[in-house]
Amino acid sequence: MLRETIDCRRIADGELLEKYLNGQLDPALQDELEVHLLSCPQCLEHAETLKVIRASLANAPHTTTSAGSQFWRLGWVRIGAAAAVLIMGAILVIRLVQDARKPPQTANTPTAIPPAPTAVPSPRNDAGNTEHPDHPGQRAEKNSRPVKKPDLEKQEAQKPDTKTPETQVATEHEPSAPPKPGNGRKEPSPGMNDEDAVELYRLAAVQAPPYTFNQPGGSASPGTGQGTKSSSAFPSMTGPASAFFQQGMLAYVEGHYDDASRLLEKVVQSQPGAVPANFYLGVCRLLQGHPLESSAPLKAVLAAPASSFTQSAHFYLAKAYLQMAQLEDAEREMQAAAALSGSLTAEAQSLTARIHALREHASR
Amino acid sequence: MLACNGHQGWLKDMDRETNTGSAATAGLASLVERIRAGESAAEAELYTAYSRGVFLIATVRTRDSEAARDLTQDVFLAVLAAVRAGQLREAEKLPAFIQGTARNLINNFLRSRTHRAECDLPDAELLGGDLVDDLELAERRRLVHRELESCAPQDRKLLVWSLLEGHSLADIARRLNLSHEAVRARKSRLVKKIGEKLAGLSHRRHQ
Repeated sequence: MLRETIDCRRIADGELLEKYLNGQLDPALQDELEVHLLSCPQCLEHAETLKVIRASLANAPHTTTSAGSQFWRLGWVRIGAAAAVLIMGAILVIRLVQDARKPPQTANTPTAIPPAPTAVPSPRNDAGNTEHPDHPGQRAEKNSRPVKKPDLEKQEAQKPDTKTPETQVATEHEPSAPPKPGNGRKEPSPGMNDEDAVELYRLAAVQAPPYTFNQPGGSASPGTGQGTKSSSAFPSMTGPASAFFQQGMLAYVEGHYDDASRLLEKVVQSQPGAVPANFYLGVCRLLQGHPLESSAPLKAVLAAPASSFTQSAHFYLAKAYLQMAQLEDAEREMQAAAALSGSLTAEAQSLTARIHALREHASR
Repeated sequence: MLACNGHQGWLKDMDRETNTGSAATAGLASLVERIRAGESAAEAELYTAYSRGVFLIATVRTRDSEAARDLTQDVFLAVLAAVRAGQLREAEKLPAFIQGTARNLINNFLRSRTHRAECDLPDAELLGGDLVDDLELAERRRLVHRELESCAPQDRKLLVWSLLEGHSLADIARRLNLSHEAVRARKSRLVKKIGEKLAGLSHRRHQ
């Protein structure tokens, strides 16, 4: 009777166990699968194996180092943190020695200016759970637990198959941000368990926001936020800055974030107020696994007058904080993104709730 | 505290015999009857058969293994009380009944978790968990860790994309420039290999 609706073959073919562990099933299918798991030792054992592997991958150092800057993990972070402390100590000593020899200098750090994004594919959507009055434990009130339901196939299907010179959309060349050792990635709270670590990993994952070339003057098009100014409100880039920006965004669209960063840095150096350049520079650094370095350009976007980039800047700054395991800051920024009207509002609201839950849980 | 030992006895037999369901239905009906009759061995059998599954469900839904342990106990207390009280009318729906009970209790827990976190005092026993389970879990993780370290980088990447990042095998196949079947076979081989090692570990432990 149970296998009339769901069976081992369908589970394997549909990768349902993987989706289940990743919180990607809709509530009805999740219920069906769970009933099947209770009746099928083989599938249960397979699910348990996948769960253990998943937890190990989330915590494994090799996940970061071997996967070509694609992943970061806690074990590695511990080593990285220790190395960073040693290096910083050494730098401090050197500076102290230098200071003792030289007259004091004032360091002015140039601050970059604001940038922008578009819809970011949401890995998860909220959906309500159903409750059955026949079962013990039932409550009259509606369940408020958000159920994650990312539909990667749909996301993929929504991506344009072809790129035209007029409208070229950046597609993610890698599934998520490529974190590298150092650069601000930090270990989550020591009390964080595997589940929390996995949740943090998923929350911190970044997908490249699309970029279109079809805007007047080659400006970026960050989305459809309401109540914000369009990118055309920014001072248009001229001369070499404009050329660097175009080249940088071409590299961005092709997934060459190192090249894009280098070119966008030149734009920002010559025009600190270039909001789109700052925004995409921040995103590029984030995608390169440099969350700490991404915060300055993203903050520069936020320091600029409200624009269509503002919500996205809050959003990606929150992501940067998540990658640095600064949950409080991440929640604040994500809340700010959720409070703004735009294409990221729903996702930001969902992520805010999850960050809050993670904070609560980690602090216990 | 009851220990999570997993499926044994009649459930495995049931699964082998039945895809048709008659043996399973008979086994479940018998089990339910014995529980109603107050047979404690039947209650233990129920727990042994379903506790691993309930624990997995609770872990996945709460992402909190400590809470999942407690919830597993709560689920069985509720299910046993309901079965004894005759609330389960059709024995063959026992797995669905257990799942529904688990889901409801977990949802209640999730609703109240934030509030409890603010109000409750830490419970040393709960925080400590089950030492044997913890040791076994640590050993399983070490084993998996060793296996993953010996994997080729591309294989690890495949597992990360599939299990951690939630990408479909079709998507991964495109990214790796491989056929869907090749990726599926590769992943299946990896998971099977690790699963066999884990099964060997459990077997040694239970001997």
